[in-house]
Amino acid sequence: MKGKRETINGILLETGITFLAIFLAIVAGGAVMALFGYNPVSAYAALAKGAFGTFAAFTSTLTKSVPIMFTGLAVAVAFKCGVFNIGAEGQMLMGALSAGIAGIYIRFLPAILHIPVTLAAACLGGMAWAFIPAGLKQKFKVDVVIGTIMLNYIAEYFVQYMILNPLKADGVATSTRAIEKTAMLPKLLSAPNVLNLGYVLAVGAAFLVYFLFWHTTRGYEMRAVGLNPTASRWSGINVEKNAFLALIISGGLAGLAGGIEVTGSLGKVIVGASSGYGFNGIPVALIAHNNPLIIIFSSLILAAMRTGAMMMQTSAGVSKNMVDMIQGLIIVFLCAEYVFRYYIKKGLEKAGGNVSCQ
Amino acid sequence: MSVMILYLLTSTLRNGTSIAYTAMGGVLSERSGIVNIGLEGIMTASAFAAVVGSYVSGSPWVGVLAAVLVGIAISAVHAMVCVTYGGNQSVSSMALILLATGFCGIAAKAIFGRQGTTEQVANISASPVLAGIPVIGPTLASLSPLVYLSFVVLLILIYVFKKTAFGLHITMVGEHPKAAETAGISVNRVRYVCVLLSGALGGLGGAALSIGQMNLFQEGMIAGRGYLAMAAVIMGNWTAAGAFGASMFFGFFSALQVYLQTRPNNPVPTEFVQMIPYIACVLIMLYSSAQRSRRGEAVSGKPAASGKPYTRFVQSR
Repeated sequence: MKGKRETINGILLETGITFLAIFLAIVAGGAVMALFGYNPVSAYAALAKGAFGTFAAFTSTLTKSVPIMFTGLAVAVAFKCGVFNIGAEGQMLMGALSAGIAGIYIRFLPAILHIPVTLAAACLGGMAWAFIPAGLKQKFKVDVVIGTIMLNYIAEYFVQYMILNPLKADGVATSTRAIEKTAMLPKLLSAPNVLNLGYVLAVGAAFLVYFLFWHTTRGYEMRAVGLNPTASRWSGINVEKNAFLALIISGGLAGLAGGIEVTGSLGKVIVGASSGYGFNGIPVALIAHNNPLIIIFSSLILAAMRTGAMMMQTSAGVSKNMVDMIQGLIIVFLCAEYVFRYYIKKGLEKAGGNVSCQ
Repeated sequence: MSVMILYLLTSTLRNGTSIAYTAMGGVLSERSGIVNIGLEGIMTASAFAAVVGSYVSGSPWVGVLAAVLVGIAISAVHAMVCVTYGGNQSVSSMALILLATGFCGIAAKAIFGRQGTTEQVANISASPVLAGIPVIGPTLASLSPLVYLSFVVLLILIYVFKKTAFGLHITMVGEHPKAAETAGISVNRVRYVCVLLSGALGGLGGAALSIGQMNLFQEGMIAGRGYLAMAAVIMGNWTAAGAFGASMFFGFFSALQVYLQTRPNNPVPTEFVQMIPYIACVLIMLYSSAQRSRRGEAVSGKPAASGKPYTRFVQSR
């Protein structure tokens, strides 16, 4: 029988391994910087100062965590059901575009209606874009990874075309016209601090996903499919349908990332509006072990890296791409978790303890 | 008309070669049972390494060597995580892409003092040796020696898979690792060799792009070629010749894209022309998947143990 104490031990072990992975990634990243002749300590100090140095910087980090939280949730929902969605980037772009169109062309609507309509458009935009690879997978067994990644590129060019042609702002611009004031999310803090309603919505979305997974039958089926598709099929769960739904929900969440970026921060759609947020979702979901509530915090780590990176580049001279490397290292060390478990278990067995490493 | 055909033909070879090398590497890795979505990352890092090698030594061939070595080094990370540690192969592949992007960014800033781009270096975009051949000489000479080398690599791979014991071992390890181990084959050793070789070939792919086709490195220059290579592996039904052919098919669509962009008074917006290779990829995948599902899974060349870890760390759980 699996006791409560063992469960707690398991959670502690998982948390410990995650922190260990992040720590090792930071150390290894520092070693790389030292190799190229930079001072890793001052670089990391600049990064931390850029992300948390002032209250305004902290609120900017919080704001940056919003799209990352949504893409993290998007990746996690798909992952839980055994689907690897690397198309969050494209789905986010389509969400941003849909929000832009709804924000620009719908007029004379009070904010209380305009905001939900715009966000719904963003969600639908992302869902529609995820529908293509999901449908291709269900109907024709086309590899989801290839489907989603190719649609990223197609979305990038399509959205760029829409921004630079029908929706373009006057004059020389790489953005659309501004969306209506009524479509903008209300601000929660006054300048120089930045925080808008998007943060509340993102946290709410995390709780909704949590509810979906652990308090609904659909969520239970999705988790079962992710854990063991064969056993799920034998117990009468429709594996394909659940995988399809997971990808659609995932696309909707990624679309919301784009919609909230447009209505909360940008006020228009710009070329490169997604700029890697979609890919940030992958380490965020991994760090959180796909737990939607932990994603609220793990998205903060990535957001801090993104806000701090500019400061690191300007004051320590290290390329802002350093944070890509740290993300890669975090993933590498998280992938090696079986090894950590193996040695921790062995070590504990030697010490005479008896710990479940499930 | 014939000028256009000739242009498209040579341009197809030029654009297809980098994808072909990488796809052949993908075949090696996947046939041994290790999925690698991170081919894009291998290409990125090695395209950059090729430029640095050429920049430092002045000889593009040193660049090719550097690209191969970096390709092996970065795929060693993947091999360690997937073969030894039994980690999730798709996820680990994503790490390769991030590591490569990060590495190139830092190194470009440290070596060239620029963000996201390098200086122009000596390249090998032509084979002047062949210019002496009558009639077709000038055309042949306008292609990089790396284009010709890719055909040699293809022949070697076909030979290895069809005629050698090692080729048989790769197939065994990919189809049924336990049976292979029972027969005395070291699963891990075969997988390591295959993943590292796929890194070397991905390295050639990166070099074929950055110093075979162009003469510099820019952030984002790979632009999905690694993913196209991955699609080529599937389209080519996990065989070297199939993947090579599929790569050249993608090369043709890239060539078509470049050709349409350079034509004056093109009525189709640039962005839609740039989409061509990616849309072609989705449609081709759709076609080949539909074919495969109609004829049943039996004809699929996908290795049975593809993506499944085989290591004491995971079994011990």
